[in-house]
Parts: sequence; structure tokens; C-alpha cells
Amino acid sequence: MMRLKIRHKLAIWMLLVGVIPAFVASRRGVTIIADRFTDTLQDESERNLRVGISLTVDHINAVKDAADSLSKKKELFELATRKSLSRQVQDLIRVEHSNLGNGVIHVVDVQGKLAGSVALGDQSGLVAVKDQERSYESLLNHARSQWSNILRNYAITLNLYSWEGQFTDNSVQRFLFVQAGAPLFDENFNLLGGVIVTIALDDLFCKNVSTLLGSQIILFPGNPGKTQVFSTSFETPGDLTRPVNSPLGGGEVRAAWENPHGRHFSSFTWNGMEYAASMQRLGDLEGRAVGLLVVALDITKMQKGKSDAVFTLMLSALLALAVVIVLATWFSRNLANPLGRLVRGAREVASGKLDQRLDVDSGDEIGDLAKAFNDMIRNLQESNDRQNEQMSEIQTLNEIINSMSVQVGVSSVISEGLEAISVALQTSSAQLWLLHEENGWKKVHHIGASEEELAQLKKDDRPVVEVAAESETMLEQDDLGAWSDKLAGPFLAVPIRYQGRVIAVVFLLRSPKAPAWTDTHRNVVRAVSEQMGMYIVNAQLFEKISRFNEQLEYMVHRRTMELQDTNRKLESTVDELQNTQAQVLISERLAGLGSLLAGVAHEINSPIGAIDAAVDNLMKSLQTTLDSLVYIVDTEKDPRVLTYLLTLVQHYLESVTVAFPARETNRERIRDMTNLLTGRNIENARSLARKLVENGTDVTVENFLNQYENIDAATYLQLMSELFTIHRSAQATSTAIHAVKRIVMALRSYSHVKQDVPEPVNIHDVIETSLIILANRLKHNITIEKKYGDLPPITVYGDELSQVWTNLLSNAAHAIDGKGTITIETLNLGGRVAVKIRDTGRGIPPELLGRIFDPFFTTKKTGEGTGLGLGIVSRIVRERHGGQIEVTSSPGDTCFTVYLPVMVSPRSNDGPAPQV
Amino acid sequence: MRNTSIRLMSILAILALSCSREKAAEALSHHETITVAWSKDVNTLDPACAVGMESAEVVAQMYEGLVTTDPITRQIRPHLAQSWERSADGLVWDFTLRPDVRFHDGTPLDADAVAFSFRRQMDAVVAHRARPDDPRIPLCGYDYWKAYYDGLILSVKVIHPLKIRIVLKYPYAPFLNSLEMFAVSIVRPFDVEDMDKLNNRSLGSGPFRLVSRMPDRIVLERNPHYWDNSKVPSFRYLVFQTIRENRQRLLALEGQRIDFAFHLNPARYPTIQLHPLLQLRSEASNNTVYLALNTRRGPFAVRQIRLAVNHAINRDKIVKMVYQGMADLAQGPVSGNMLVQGQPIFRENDPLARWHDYDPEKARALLREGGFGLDGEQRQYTLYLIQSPRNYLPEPLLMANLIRHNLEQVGIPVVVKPTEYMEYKRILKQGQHDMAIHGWAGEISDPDEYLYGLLHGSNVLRATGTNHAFFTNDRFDDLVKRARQAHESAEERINLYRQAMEIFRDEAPWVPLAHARMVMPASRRITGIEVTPATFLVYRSLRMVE
Repeated sequence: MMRLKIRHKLAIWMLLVGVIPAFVASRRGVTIIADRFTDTLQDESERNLRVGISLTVDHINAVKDAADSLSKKKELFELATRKSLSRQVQDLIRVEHSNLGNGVIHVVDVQGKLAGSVALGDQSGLVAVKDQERSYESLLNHARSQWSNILRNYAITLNLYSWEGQFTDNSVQRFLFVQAGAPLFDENFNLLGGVIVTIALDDLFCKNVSTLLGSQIILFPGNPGKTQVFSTSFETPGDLTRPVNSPLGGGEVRAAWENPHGRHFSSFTWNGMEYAASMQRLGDLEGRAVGLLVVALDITKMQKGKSDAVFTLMLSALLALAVVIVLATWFSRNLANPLGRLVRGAREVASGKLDQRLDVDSGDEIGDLAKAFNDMIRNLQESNDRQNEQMSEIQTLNEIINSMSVQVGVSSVISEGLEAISVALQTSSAQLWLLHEENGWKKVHHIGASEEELAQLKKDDRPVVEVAAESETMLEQDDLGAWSDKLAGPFLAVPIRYQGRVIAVVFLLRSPKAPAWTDTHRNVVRAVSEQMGMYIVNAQLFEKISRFNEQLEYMVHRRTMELQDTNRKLESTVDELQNTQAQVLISERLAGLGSLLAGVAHEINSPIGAIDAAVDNLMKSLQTTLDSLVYIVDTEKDPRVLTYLLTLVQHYLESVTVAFPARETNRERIRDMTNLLTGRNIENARSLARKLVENGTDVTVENFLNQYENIDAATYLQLMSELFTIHRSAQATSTAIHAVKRIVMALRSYSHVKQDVPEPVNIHDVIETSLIILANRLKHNITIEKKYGDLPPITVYGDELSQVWTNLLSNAAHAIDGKGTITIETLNLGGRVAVKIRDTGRGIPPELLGRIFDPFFTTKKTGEGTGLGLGIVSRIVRERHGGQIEVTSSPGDTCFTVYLPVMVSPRSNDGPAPQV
Repeated sequence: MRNTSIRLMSILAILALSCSREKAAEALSHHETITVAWSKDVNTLDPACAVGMESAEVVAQMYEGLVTTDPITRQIRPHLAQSWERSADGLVWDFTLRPDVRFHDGTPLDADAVAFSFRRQMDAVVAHRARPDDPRIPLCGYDYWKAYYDGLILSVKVIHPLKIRIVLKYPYAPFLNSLEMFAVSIVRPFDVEDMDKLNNRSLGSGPFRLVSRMPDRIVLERNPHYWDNSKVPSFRYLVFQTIRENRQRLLALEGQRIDFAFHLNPARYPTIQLHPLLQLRSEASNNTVYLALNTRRGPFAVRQIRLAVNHAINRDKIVKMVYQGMADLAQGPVSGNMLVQGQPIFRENDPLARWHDYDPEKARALLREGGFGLDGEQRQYTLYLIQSPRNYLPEPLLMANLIRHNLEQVGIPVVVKPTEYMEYKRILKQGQHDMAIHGWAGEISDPDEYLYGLLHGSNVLRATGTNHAFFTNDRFDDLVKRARQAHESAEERINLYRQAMEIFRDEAPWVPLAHARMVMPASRRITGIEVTPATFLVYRSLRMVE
């Protein structure tokens, strides 16, 4: 980058700051003026067009209102009924409606025939038409269509047309005209005819609108691209609207004509004036284009205003630019000269000439700056000298402290510290005395001169070390008075303190020829002594801690060894215990199973006996059935009888579930049946009837017998009876097999050995399984009462719980000794459930109540129980399920209550049971 | 120095930028705004309480019903409810809601909201009946609920987050149509004790949401998250402005400052048609304007005399003169435009669609036959009307005078009684009139509203008292009642209605006059003007050409 002097930069910046805003502002100003001008022009001509349209529409509305008001004129009723209109009335109407411009009022009768007309306006209008009759006729054609509209709606009608006619000066003129029609009613609302007002939108109309609007108007009748005819408010229209090369712009005009919605804008110059033209197509009721309205706004003045504004703006921008350039040059010169001198002086100072002074006296900020600069150089020189001195002090100090700080041991701290002091202060001899708690002052280190020399030094009969220790800062040979001459050279004794307590003293001695101590030496020694105390104490503490640490490590190591040993022993014990425990659980379960097996065998035996008997019956009945069927097929001529019988039996089998009616209500039915059977010559009618009723088949039999009168009833009854027997035997077999299945299922689930994860079960199902297994023991005079609550499915080790219920129920059965009640109650307690098993047995003596959950405790005779039962129950409940078991007992009422959480976590398999 | 110059330059730049941005925003807003002006302010934005065309139109833009009518086929179509099931007996209706609809504030529209929208009216009407003086019950009377659903709906129950069950007490065939009505459009549940909330807030799901509400000016903005993407409006703002003066409203329309001007003076219609910047749209609608003859009073109890009145009135001429082409001549109690479940009632060249001709001679003969004037009664028969113009009746007094004139021509002396609305209602309810000019514009666009609501015997006694002719005819009542319950087949309903209308024509309790057209003077820059069967302008489909 090119290097610029500050005054050039200054000049450039000032130029930028001045010129850019001036440029931006003027540029923006011009754009805004241009934009605003265009917008204003657009808005203005749009507004003009809207107002122009409104004025036009107002005129149309006025024509409509005129038709409306004329239709209420009595005189016109008369005209419609073919009475001529007096000139006076005609004049009156002309005056009344003179504001409408040039036009004509037609009155037609009820058949639509022209009854009369009144011309409106002066010679320049429609009245000036040369061939009046013909022209009126063509006007009337439009008027007739107006009349038919009137007839259609009985309402005011209104429309725009373009129309061509020949005028007195032989010119053919085209006009837009507006036509309004209104019905004429008499006072009885009878239609008499119509009044039709036709008004030309001609030059006169354009001039009227132009006067109100302040803009020029051009109105094209029909397509402006094809006609040269128009109405306008321009005084000298000439060839303003030439179709092709019109200054209006042929394209714009065509576009406006062709677009039914949009407005179009253009600008043109005419007679030295500038105009903004806006155009709008006019349509008739059906939306067909009939004309084009052009509103031309004179924008000459506005254009001039715009160029004036732009010129003024540009001029002032240029002026501002010139002023800025002059000012920038002057300011930069004035500011930059003294600055240059400042720069030169500063450069020399920087090169090391600190005696240099600046000679600038401009009296402004730069002069002040020069003065301040001179002062600064002076101060700089002074402080430079001082600083050199202090630097050497700090350096010395730093070396000494560094040498001590890297040491950790007490002796090395002292020796290194003393060595560093000795080197730094160029001593011939240096000693350090340490205060021991027991032995008092003792020299611990020395460099150079022998020990006797200083040990003998005393002041007021006290060893000099004690005197030095008591001194505030330090001792010099002058402080020693008489003894000072014994010293070979300059002497210094410095007490070293830690937390206000003197812990050591340093003696320093220089060779006899050496100069005396300076302030720098004293400062260094004082600073070192302060640091040294801390380092010595730290080093002492560090040594102490290190010793403790070693001891501790050794002890920890020994204890760890011992613990590992013990642990190993414990582990093997736990393994053994776990094995034993699993064995005990399984053996208890199998023992229980053994003692139950006899009962279970009996349970299975009785359904098998039932099956045996049923199958026997089945065989017999099958034989008899076949016999009967053979007999029937041989003898019966009507096969429908057998079909009907079989259908009835089938229906019975499908619909009847075995439900036997009560014995009392049967009596009547047996009597009826007996009568029926007797009537059909059947032997043993009464006993047969009883059998049928008790089987619930009497209705079927009755239906059958009633259907067929002349048949061998006995044979058919026999067949029916056998079919029913077959059905019943099959049912009995099925029931028995089901019972056996149930027992086998229960046994299988009970003997299932280990379940790894808890699963959701219905606790009632588990209880029922246990009841099935124990069915044999719970027979006879034992009543089982179940009070099951509404329990959620709980997640447990179902098979193990089965062992719990089996144990508790079996104990209960044992306790009541074959006669009494066992109540099983389940309760939903929210997060857990409770199962109560209560018996009416002899109860547990209070002194034994505390021991019943101990292993091997039993009240049974030897050989009857293992004594493990309740212990295992307790283990399963507490440890496996995290539950709780409680017992209360008095003679006649013993109750075991088992609480179980709804969700058992599988973890309780390994860890101790949580306390519930 | 440097800082100052930078600051100076940035200030200049900001000034330059802000000028152009302001201008752009101004232009954009005109380009994206459609403004509607009418003569009265909106009374409320609560759909259940909206009264009058103004409130109803605004509410219908913000809130939506469960169903809608297809503008082309005019069949009921799913809307907020995507499907429904009806039990065989027509009593149990299960509606399944669209899952993707959200209210303007983003809350999903679910069955709870639907239940709320119905129940707040149901509960309030029930509670009000029990305790008419309780101030906690909202002041707005829920007139639509009372007119259509009170005594019809047994229960409204949520059966699934998106399913609602409505149980009726008796089958009601136009029930599905009725759910399009704005009064039962779905609102986001709010605290019913705080009715103002609904009055000033946007709790709907419709294509427009409320931006601001001031007296005489309501600004809605299109809902860019409207659930039916294809129906999000093409323009941004919809403004409803009250301009009370007719002339001012027309000037605003001519000056392109507004896009629709309602309630203009009909005399201005021809000029508007010729205005190059304006358009005048008119749509057939379902209202009926009629002359009710009090069948319980004087000579009009005699059928022949009622027929004579029908023959005496030149309805064609009257309708033309009063409406200036902006109405269709009525040929019965129900407009031919009306559909039953999407099917027309009248056929082509239907003899049923021909009312008694204008025939003064026949009228005189019938009067003689009916014994008119034989009892020596010498009085003028009263003809009541509401004197202020209405949407469907722009010049009531002219109409009454034309009728009076026709009747006097056949020898029935008439006195025209222009009355205030409340007084008129009282007199009609008590049956003190001989004749009354009345109009009805139904909300649900079903013949039931006219044939049952205005002519069924039970409505003589009901609190609404809408049977102004006090017409009772057992066979007619039976047919009409069966038709409203015949929910299974449109053909059956049409058949029943046709039989009923034959009885109506023979008994002639009314002189049906006109079905007024809905007239919309609008700026030419508006296209896409659509009107629902219940004559609501569909604002969301409007477009602008520039």
C-alpha cells in the first residue's frame, strides 16, 4: 500500500466525508424527485380518470333521474294516450332538463309507438341533424329496445350506445349517447307507455366535465382505432386523434379499448403543452365496449417544476463540493506542520538521545503535546538511573531465593541459602545458627572462618547469638561496642523469623580489607531473611510428613494382606452354604411331594373309574342303538319319522346344556309324561317318565310323540333313550378326563424345580393349584372358604409360591385334624397384596410361636415332617419375594398372613431380602 | 473523526432505505386487501349469537361447521367431520373429525371442542328455562339453537378423541344440512363465564382469523395454516367496514376504496351496471316473500275467498315494480332453487310450479261463490307490514299499496298498516291481522324450514308463532311431519313435499310473491364471486385482477 502523509489522509477523509454525503444526498434527491414526480403523475392522472369516470357516471345517473322524474309527469301521460303536448309544456321540460346537454325525449304509448318528442339543447346537438326523420328513426330503434326492457321489468332502464348521423354541414358524426327509459303508470298503476331520454355525450358534455375536472376530455364513440370521430373539450382538436400516428399513441389507445378492466396511461404533447393521458373503456349493459374515455391532464407546469428542482439540487451539490475542497486543503496544512516536527523529535529520542528537547510552540494542543513530551523525556532519564540500581538488588535477591526454593531438605535449604548469600555479599565467613527446642542455639552450617571466632563473641556476657535473636532487625559491629575490634572485617548478624518468632540467626563477616556494608546489602539480607524463615520451616515440616507417610504405607499394606486372607476363607464358606441351601429347598419340596403322592393317586383314580364305567355304558348303548335302527329301518314305511326323530335329538344335543330341573317342579311333569306314555301303550310308563324328566329329555320326547300318532312308540323311545345315554356317557368321560388333566398340570407345576425370573401370575391360580394337589387331604369334613379380593396380577416366582400355599394349607389341614374350616382370604393393599390362611384348628402354643419359622422345628411326630416346612416358607416369602409372613394363633383360630409386593425385583434372588 | 463520518453515512443510508420500504408496504397492502362495506355494524363475533347478515358473514369466515355444501353439486360434503355414520332409525349420528385441523391459536380441534360448541348452547338454554333470571347465564339468547335444536338434540357425547355422538329425540331429515349453520360452527373451548372472550378473539379454525376489531371496522387476515391448503385465500386481508350513509358507501366503491358495497339503494343499480369500474352481481336465493292470509279471521277462513285473493293480485307486475328485476316470481311456498338433499323439488315444466293466474274476473266470481260481503260486514281488511326495508324486501310500502290496489279492484277494501318490527310481531302472534306481508330467509336451505316452520299446525301455538296464516290442515301437517322424519330417501321426501304443496295450492293460505335475489355491487377488480346455497358470499375464493 502506498504510504500517505497524515495531511494527505486528512484531506482525503475530509473530501470523502464532505463529498460522499453530498453526492448521495443529491443523487437520492434527484431519484426521489423523479420517482415522486412519476408517482404523483400516475396518482394524479389515475385520480383524474376516476373523477372523470365519476362525473360521467353522474351524468348518466342524471339522465336516469330525469327519465324517472319525467315518468311521473301528468302531461306525459296525456301524450302517451295520444294527446299532443303544448309548446308551453315542451318549453318547461326543456328548461327543467337543460342541464342534461343535447338530446331528445321520446314518449311511446303502451304499444311502443312513438307518441311525441321534445328536443333538448341547442343547434350543436342532435337537433342539428340534417335528415331529422331518418335519424330519429335510428334513435328510435334503440328507444324500442329500451321499451322492451321497460316491459320486461316495469323498471327504469339505462344503457350506453354509440350512434352515427349526418349533420347539416354534411359531416357524418358519431356520438356516444346515454339512453334511459322509465315506464309511465296512471294512478291505478296501469302501464300507459314509456318515456325515453336520449342524451348525447358530445363536445358540450366533454366541456362541462372538463370545466369541473380541470383536465381535457376526449370521448371516442366506438373503436378509436377505426374512427376519426370523437367528442372533446379541446378547443382545437385538429388531427389529435389520427388513428395511426395519433400523438395519443395508437398502441395505448388500442390496448385500452381491448382490455375491459385495466386503465392505460400515456403522455403526449399537443399545441406546445404536455399532457398525461389516462384511458378507460366504457361498456354497455352486456359489457360490450361502446367507447373510450380519455382524460388528459396538463403536466407542463409539473414538468417544469421537476426540472427546476433537479437543477437547483445539482447546483448546490457542486457548490458544496467546491467549499469542501478548499476547506480540506487549508485544514490539512495547518494541522500537519507542527505534527511533522513532533515526529522528527520523537524519532531522535527513540534512537537514544534522551537529552534532546523539542522546540515546538504552536500554542494549541500540539504545543501542549510538545511540552508534555519534553517533561516525559526528563522524567524518563531520571527514572532510568534509579531503575538500574534497583535492578541489581532484585537480581541478587532473586538468585538467592531461587537457590533456596528448589531445595526440599532443611540442611540443603540452609547450605544453599547460605552459599548464595555468601557469594552475593562477598563474605569471607557465613554461619547459620538454629534454635532447637531442647538444646537451645546450635550452629548448623558455616562457610569460611572457623567456629570459635564467632562463638566467643559476646555482648554484656551473653552470647552474641542470643543478642542478635532479640534485636529488631540486625546487628552490626557498631552495635557490639567493645567487641567490635575483635572482628577482622565488617560484621552482620541477621535474625530469621517465621510468624514473628526467631528461629535462626545468620552471621556474615567480610574480609578485613572489604568495604563496609551498603544499603543495598542490608536490603538484600533483610529480604532474604524473611524468605529464608519460611523455607526453613517448610523444609522441616516436609521432612516430618514424609516420615509419617512411610509409616502409614507400611501399616496399610499389612492390614490389606490380612483382610484378603479372611475374605478368601469367607468366600468358600458362602459357596458351601449356597449349595446346601439349594439342596434343602429341593429336598423339602420333593419330600412334600412324596407325602402327597398317595392322595394324588387316589384323586386320579376316581375319574378313571368314572371313565371306565362311561365307556362300558357307551359300548352297551351303541349295540342297542344299532339293533333299534335295524329294526326301524326294516319295519317303518315312513322314513320321515326317523329323520324327524334324529333332527329332534340333534336339536336337543345342540341346545341343551345339562341343567336338571328342581325335583319339586318335576312332579307335575312326570305325571303328564306318564299319562302320555300310558296313552301310547308303553310299559313301565311311570318309571320311564321319571327318567325322561330327570334327564330333561321329556320335552323332546313329547314333541316327537305328538307329531306321530300311529307308530311303534316303544321302539322309537328306546332308540331315543339310547342316543341320550351315548351323549351323557361321552360327556361324563370328557369331564373325568378334564379332572385328571387338572391334577397332572398341578403336579407338574409343583415339581418344577427352579424359576429364574419372576413372572406375572394371578395369585388365585397359584392357590387353586395347591388346592388341587391337596384335594385328597382337604376332603371329608373340611370346609374351604374362599374370600378372594380383587387382585392385580403380581410378578412372582409362581412355582415357589405354590410351595408356600401347599405348606400352609397342609399345616392347616393337619392342625384341624380332618374337621373344621380353612379360610383363604386375599386382599389388595395397594403396592402389595396379602394372603390370609386361617384355620379353626387347635392352634400353636404361645411359647412355640416364636420358633415355628426356625429350620427343623416341628410339632409333628418324627417321620411325619422334616421340620423344614415353615422355615422354607419364610425364606421363599422374605428372601425370594421381599415379602413378609406373620402368624397369630389362639385355640380355634390360627392365621398365617403372607404379604407380597406386586412387583418382585429379580435382584432379591442374590441379595438380602429388603425389610418390608 | 472516522466514527462520526461512518455514523453520518449510515444515517443517510437508513433514511434512503426507509423511504422506499414504506412506499412498498403501502402498495402491497392495497394489493392484498379486500374491503367490504355495509350499513350496520357487527353485533357480535360469537357464532351462536350472531344476528343479522353482517355478523353472520364475518363469523362464517372465522368459524366452520362439521359439514359443508358443495357449491356445484349442492350435496352435503365432509368438512371438519371427515365421515359420519347414522343409525338405521336416524337417531344416532357418529361424526369422525379430521385429525389435522387446528384452531387459529394452534390448538388441535378435537371431539371435546365439538362437544363444547354444542353443549354450551344446549346447557345454557336448559339452564335459562329453569332459571330465567340467573345473571350467570349468557345474555345472548341462542335463538338459532332454540329454533333448530332445542327439543331435537337429546345428547352430545365424546366417544373418542376424534369422534362425537349426537343423539336425536326423533329423526330429522335436514339434520345434516343444519350442521353447516354458523350457529353450530366449532369454537375453541373457553370459559363460558367470560363471553367477551369470544366476542373479541379468534377462536375458530376457518380460512380467516381476527386481527383487530374496532367499532365499525373488523380486520381479518388469511389463515396461512388453514387445513385445506387448496382453499387458503389468495389475498391477505379481509376488512369489514361500516359506512352508514348509502351515498358515502357508493362513493367509496366508485373511488375504489372498497370492493363490495351492500345495502345500496336499488335505484342506483342501473348506474352501477354502466359504471366502467364496477360490476353488479346478483344470485338467486332461497328466501320467500309472501302475503299471509289469516285463515282464522273473517272472510279469509273461506277457501274460495283466499283463492279469489290469489287471482286478484297481479303478482308479476308487483314483483317487477318493487324489485326492478332483482327478484324471481314465487310459484309456491318454496323457491324452485331449493334442493332436498341435492335434488330439485320441481321437474321441468312442472304443473306444480304454476301458481294461480292473475284473473280479476275469476276472482270476482270466487268472491261471490264464497259469499264475500253477504254477511253484511262493512269493514276494511288490515294489511300489516314492517315499514323499514329489508334485504329481501326493498320497498315494502310500495308492495303493500300495489296489493291494496289490486284487491280493491275486485271489491275487497284494504287498509295498509305500516308497523314497527316489535309491534308487527306482537300483532301477528296474536292473530289480529287479516293479511300480512312477510318474508323468510332460511338458514339451512331446506323446504322443512318453510313448509314445517311457517305452515305446520303446531307452529300456530308454539312460542315462535311463525305460522302467520294460522293454517291448519291435518293431511298437510301429516305429510310435512313425515317428510321431516323421512331421513332415508330424498325421493320419498320430495314426494311428500309435492303432495303437501298441492294441498297448499288448493287451500291457498298465502299469496306467494317473490324470491328476492342477492345483489352484490362490487369493484370490477374482484373475480371468483361464489355464493353458498344459504346465500353467503364465499370470501376465501375471491381474487383480484390488476
